[in-house]
Amino acid sequence: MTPERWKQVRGIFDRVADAAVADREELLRRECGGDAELAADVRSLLASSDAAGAFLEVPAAEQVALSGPGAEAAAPERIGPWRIVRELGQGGMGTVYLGERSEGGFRQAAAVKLVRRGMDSDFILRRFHMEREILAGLDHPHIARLLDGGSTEAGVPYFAMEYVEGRHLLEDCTARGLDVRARITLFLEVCDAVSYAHRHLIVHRDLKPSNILVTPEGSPKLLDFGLARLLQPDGGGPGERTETAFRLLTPDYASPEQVRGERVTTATDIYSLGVVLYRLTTGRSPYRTSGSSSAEAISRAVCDQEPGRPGVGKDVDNIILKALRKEPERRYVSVDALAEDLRRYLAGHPVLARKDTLAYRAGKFVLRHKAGTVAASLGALTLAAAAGVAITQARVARAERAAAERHFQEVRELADSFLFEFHDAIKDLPGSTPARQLVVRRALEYLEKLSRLKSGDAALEREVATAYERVAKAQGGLLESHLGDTRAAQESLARALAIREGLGKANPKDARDQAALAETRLQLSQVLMEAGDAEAALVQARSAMAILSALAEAAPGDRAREARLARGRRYVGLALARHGERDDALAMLDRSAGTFGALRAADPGNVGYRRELGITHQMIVHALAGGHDRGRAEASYAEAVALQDALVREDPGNFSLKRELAYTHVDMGSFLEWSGDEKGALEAYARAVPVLEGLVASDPRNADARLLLAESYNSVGYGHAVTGSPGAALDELGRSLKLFEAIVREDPANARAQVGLARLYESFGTATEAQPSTAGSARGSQARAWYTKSRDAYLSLRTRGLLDRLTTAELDAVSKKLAANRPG
Amino acid sequence: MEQGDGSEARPGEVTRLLLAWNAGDKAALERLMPLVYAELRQLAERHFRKERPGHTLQPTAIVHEAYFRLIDQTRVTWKNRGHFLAIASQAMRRILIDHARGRDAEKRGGQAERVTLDPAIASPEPAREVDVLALDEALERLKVLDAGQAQVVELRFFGGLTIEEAADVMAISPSSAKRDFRSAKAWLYRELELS
Repeated sequence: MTPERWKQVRGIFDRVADAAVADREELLRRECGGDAELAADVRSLLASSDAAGAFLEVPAAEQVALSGPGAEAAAPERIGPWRIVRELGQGGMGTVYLGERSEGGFRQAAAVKLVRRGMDSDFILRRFHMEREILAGLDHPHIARLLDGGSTEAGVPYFAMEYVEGRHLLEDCTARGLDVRARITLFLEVCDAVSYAHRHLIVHRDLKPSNILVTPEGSPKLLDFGLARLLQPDGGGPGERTETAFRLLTPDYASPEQVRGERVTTATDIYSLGVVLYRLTTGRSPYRTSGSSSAEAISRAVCDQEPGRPGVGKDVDNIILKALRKEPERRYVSVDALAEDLRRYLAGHPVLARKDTLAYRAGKFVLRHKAGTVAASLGALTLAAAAGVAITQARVARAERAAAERHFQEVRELADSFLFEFHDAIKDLPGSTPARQLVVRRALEYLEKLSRLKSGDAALEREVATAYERVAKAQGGLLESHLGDTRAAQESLARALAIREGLGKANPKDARDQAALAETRLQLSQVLMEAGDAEAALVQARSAMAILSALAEAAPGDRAREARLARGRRYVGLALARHGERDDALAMLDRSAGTFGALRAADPGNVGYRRELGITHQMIVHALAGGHDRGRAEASYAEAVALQDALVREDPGNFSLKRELAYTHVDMGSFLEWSGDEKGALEAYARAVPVLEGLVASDPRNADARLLLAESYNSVGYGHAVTGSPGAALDELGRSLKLFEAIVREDPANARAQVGLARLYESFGTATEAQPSTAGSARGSQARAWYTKSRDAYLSLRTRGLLDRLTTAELDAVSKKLAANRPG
Repeated sequence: MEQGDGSEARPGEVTRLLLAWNAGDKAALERLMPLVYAELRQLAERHFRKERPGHTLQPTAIVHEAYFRLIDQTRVTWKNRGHFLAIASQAMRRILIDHARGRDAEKRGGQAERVTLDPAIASPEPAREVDVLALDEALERLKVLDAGQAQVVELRFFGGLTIEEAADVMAISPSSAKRDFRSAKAWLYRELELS
């Protein structure tokens, strides 16, 4: 900045700062003409001015007196349970002490961080309570554990972290004289820790060398995981913003989206890791800020300047630059992908990162068009307590279009990162249900905000619809592990469908939009089936199939379209079976199996085709239940088990594959039970139980696995009751009851759980009748009570239109048993 | 700066040098500065040792006290007084910086690191710590952009003068001084990344 420029800036600043707050933005724009940079500068100055508060107002000498040796020596004796040994240093968030406590005879040391005065204690503590479980769950050799947290007697929040003795990353590498390869190897351990945290939905947000210590053994430890989020209110849900927000970013390591005040995702950590790796391999910072180290200059560089080539070598350069891309979606999709590429480099294999294309570089100007956003967020970066005024003004004044764009950006990041990246990364992992629930809840908040914006932008609408579909998938659906909230899932899908229909009508020739519409209908069909509405499910599935047929016909030989049509047929088949049209259902499922079989033969290694074929055979067994075609059922059962057993063996950690196998056993058990082979049924059900118990143990809140397990206990219990082991029967049925009741408490609208309970009561009746120890008449009246309970449950379901063919037959069976079991 | 050895400066001497400097004797300032520094440092150190916040001196006290101790009131004009306060503020800046460095050296075993001041203690408003050394450097950069603004800050923050006193020293109106200070404060705040 030149003195002349400063004169101009401060002139405008003076006039705008003198104006009423409401008039500031207007005046600012008038004064700056079209000079966006000037406006940005003044705006950030205004924000600083608002934030500065008592800064410089109290003479220096007085402060020295206060924080001089006398005051300084007063380190607290205790913080929470920690006895304070000494001060370790001052950090961005406050003072760090070495603390210790003895527990069970051994001494534990901790770095106790006392949060600085002036930060919003209530907010921090609230958020800490919300997230402590997740944070405490971070258990990784390269992550310093969060041991404890709370507030002191004076109400000041503190956090106690595992105490790590070591040097910070850059210092350590220099001191040990590590070469580039050794540095990268060390860095890979850091990546491993970050990736682990991402799988637990924790983004660090403030990765920098001083947060990465290396122990004397040469092992890296990441500090402060999750703390940045606790302390930075912008990461919370809407309404959690607070006026006393401090930004604690270290500008050198902050990503463009952080500088702009946009949503922080895993991609943010990938960027910061890129900066760390840059410094680690070159010793320099990626950006040249012409001598100025002001936050503003760095922010500008981060948002606009292309980082200089590291010059380490083509491959490493490309890897680092890919991690450092300005747009989060153009970076590595995950930390693992980054690590993978580095490993390829170390192994001498070609790396995946490529130099940016010329076309992309030419398109770079787009970034600068976002000047408005950047300007406002420059303010955001240099903003502290009660920063708000200037920023709020800027936000209010921003054009609607810009708002739509920002929201679009938000939802894209949200959809990409939260729903796609996180959700997909964890959906097959055991124990991920609560994490997914969190993802879904966050996602919904933003979606609802977004759906109020009528933008007419097709790309935006597609994003929103996709996001709703993802949300629904996590909420409830027959074929994927879900949270068991079928009603919420239906609502989400209804919204997605409305958008997809609009898009489908607007773009009848667009195969993508048509296929997406069909996909939404299939998903809705699934959920409707889950809710017990076979009729509506059939309507949706047929409508989807019609679209998919047309698409497949338009492009003969297109395998992807054939596979989609085959899936469509399977849904129709399932809905037909549920609706009682077994022959049509089987015809449909056979065609589907035929297509998948052919696709698999053409591409034997394709896991997707094998999996689809397995599911289709399972569905055939399912549709055959209630009939007598045992040969056919056994053939399909054998096919399905062979395919699914092999898949589970190949990928033992995959939750979904195991669940599919469990379903196959259950469906076969069900077929055998209906055909009167009670012993065979018991064996098939019993084969499902250990698989399901394993699933529920590793993910206790997964509603789908729990339902299936509750049903299986019931089936096994019933099997024991009718095959002469009534004692074992009551044990199994008791387990089933406990589980069903818990499920219904959490999701009262879950029809499947209610059907399950109706069946279970019947089983109790049967088991009671079979008990040898009870006196005959008492046995009879107890059994009658269970049958009555069962019948009433079925009747209540019928009143609500939730009985399909199979369950109607079950109701008849119960009624017959009641009739046969007349007292006296 | 090793000038301050605690030797008592005689009021006559300082007053004479101040007047000589005002009369155009450039060398007088060079001899004046160490004397003012030494006096202020003594006052300041006594001040720093105060243990209880309630017993601190008034903000402007050190510089003013030095003025009364060093200057023969009967021989100086209002304008001379302003010059003295300016010099004293500058000296206070050096003292505080030396103090900060010294404290660091003590704490880190000789390795210079930055020390921070925490105005939040003295003020009910939450405010971030001030890194004196960083502020000193930023003030030098501000001086390049606008020397007057840098001086207002020096007078206010280091010298402990009020806006009115600072305006007097600089021979500008209080409202100009106020504006100068406001934008300088915002600029420095941003420059120090207190955000």
